[in-house]
Amino acid sequence: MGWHLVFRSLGSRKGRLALAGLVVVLGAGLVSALANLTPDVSSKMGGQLRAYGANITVLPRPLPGLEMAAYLDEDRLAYMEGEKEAIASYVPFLYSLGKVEGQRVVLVGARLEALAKQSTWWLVQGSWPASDDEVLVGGRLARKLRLKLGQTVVIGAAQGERQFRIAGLAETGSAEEDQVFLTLSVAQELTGRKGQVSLAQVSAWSEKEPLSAIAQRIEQAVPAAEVRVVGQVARAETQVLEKVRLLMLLVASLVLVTAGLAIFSVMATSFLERTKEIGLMKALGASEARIASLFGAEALVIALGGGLLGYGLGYGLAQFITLVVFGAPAALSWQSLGITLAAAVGVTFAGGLIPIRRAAGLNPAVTLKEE
Amino acid sequence: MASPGMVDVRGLTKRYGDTCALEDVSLSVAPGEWLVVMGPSGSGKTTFLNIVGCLDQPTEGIVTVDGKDVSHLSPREMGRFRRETIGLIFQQFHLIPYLNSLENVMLAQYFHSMADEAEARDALVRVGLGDRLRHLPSQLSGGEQQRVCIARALINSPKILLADEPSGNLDRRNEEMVMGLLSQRHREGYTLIMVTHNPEIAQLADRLVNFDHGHLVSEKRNHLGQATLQRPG
Ligand SMILES: Nc1ncnc2c1ncn2[C@@H]1O[C@H](COP(=O)(O)OP(=O)(O)O)[C@@H](O)[C@H]1O
Ligand SMILES: [Mg+2]
Repeated sequence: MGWHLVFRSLGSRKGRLALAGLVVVLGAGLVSALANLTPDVSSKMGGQLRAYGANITVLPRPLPGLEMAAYLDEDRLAYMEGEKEAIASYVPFLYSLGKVEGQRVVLVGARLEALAKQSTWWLVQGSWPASDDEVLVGGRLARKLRLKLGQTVVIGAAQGERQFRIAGLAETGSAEEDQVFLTLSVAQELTGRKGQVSLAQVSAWSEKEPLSAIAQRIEQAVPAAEVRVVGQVARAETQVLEKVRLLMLLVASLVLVTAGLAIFSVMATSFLERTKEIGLMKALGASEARIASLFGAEALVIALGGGLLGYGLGYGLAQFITLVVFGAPAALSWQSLGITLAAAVGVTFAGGLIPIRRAAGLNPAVTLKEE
Repeated sequence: MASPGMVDVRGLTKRYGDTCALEDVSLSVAPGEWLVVMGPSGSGKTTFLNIVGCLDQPTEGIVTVDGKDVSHLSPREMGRFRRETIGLIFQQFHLIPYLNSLENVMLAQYFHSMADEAEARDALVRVGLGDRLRHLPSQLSGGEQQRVCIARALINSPKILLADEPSGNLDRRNEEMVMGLLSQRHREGYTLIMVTHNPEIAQLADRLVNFDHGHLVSEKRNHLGQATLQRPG
């Protein structure tokens, strides 16, 4: 009988119901859009910013009193493999001077497959080296030395020389154009610096913590290392995200407060129209709890119905925004469904509390008095 | 009174701010008695019924209903007492507009204990509405609505029926039918307190009291007892 009564009552007030429902749908829709967007925007934006490259540099701390360059221990850097969540990739580099076809050049040993991932904007003619016998040569250097793609060259350093095939030529727009890139282990062998690394470039991102916290962890894990957050990018990332979050929070709160007020006015009006009905129920002996639960159930139906509809709308909106801005769809999240329904129910009851309590406390004798 | 009445009112006074709706009223109603309350508008009839029906509380005095002192009950206890002991019939019927006849009767069961459709249907059949079970109040005549109201008042087997001008909004023919139903309940043993302006109806009751300006001014035992309502012409 209880639910039957609730649905009969709701059915008899379709106009008002539509109004209250609409308010909830709109409120829930915005909350849903925001809830669906927030985690997605963070990770997508993180991804986009990360595409610009490394944002943390790990350097050896200069040794006091020594002129010679310090090196990092390659094995210790490998700890970063375990930080999959925060660290997308890291590239160890070994810089040294060497000779190509008798000309002095900067030789760069690096983990090339990781470097390729971090350097998406490099224009590579040919391909990245696929084996230890191949190198990538900077475009300007190649023009200077008249080196051709696919050609074999002799490269030498302090501890010997070797033949390599030129697998690719790279246009980068900066210093890399004068350098030769080869596999880290080969570079270490040629220079006699096994297990040593000049620096590492790290591409890190986390929604949960600032870059500086990740940097600090790296500094603790790698001995004698000095870790620098590449200032501009990091600050920009954090600031943009903070602003986006703040704005979303502000909009969501405004929408929710407005929805709460609208629910209050709709429920209060409906309550005024129904005083006789409530008075009769009380005259028949309905307890305050019974009346409150009947009205509460009506509110719950409105909240859940509106919440679900709003969730769908908001999810669509979030999809649209992420598609337009990031060119990829948003992922459906159950968490955001929970947040949306909770917000819809919360707002409905916050707005309905006073009318429901007033209804439950009505004095039947006064209410039923004939006018 | 030697034997305890179904209703015992002693020194009942009810004030609303400055207005004194009832003043020092004492009255007893025996079990199974049919009492009619008359008096000009504003004389306190509804107030009296409300207090006996536990819809309102006395300012002063003691009111005992079915052996229980109801003068100082909490709203919650009043509610419980109403649904167990009192059947209410209103001049305005007060049916829920979006519920059909059956559901309106079941509503009283629901608030009392549990809705029982078969029982509610029987109650409507007994007031002659077996073919109006699924009609909404707006689809019923005034007399039919009042009969739904009577079925609803009786559905939980109350000790007392309180009817405030039950035929005040009805034409002559419907008034007869409603009064026929109520006097039949009276014969079945219900205690019945009714407000009416119709002296002919007052003839049907066991006893008649008159209120004026909140005072009980006269009381008359009707020795004819259950006379039948005279048909005009
Ligand atoms: N809730 C109330 N608040 C203030 N005055 C009331 C209230 N109920 C009744 N009265 C007053 O009490 C008096 C008796 O009212 P009522 O019992 O309704 O009279 P009757 O039913 O005989 O017409 C009237 O003067 C009325 O205005
Ligand atoms: Mg009255």
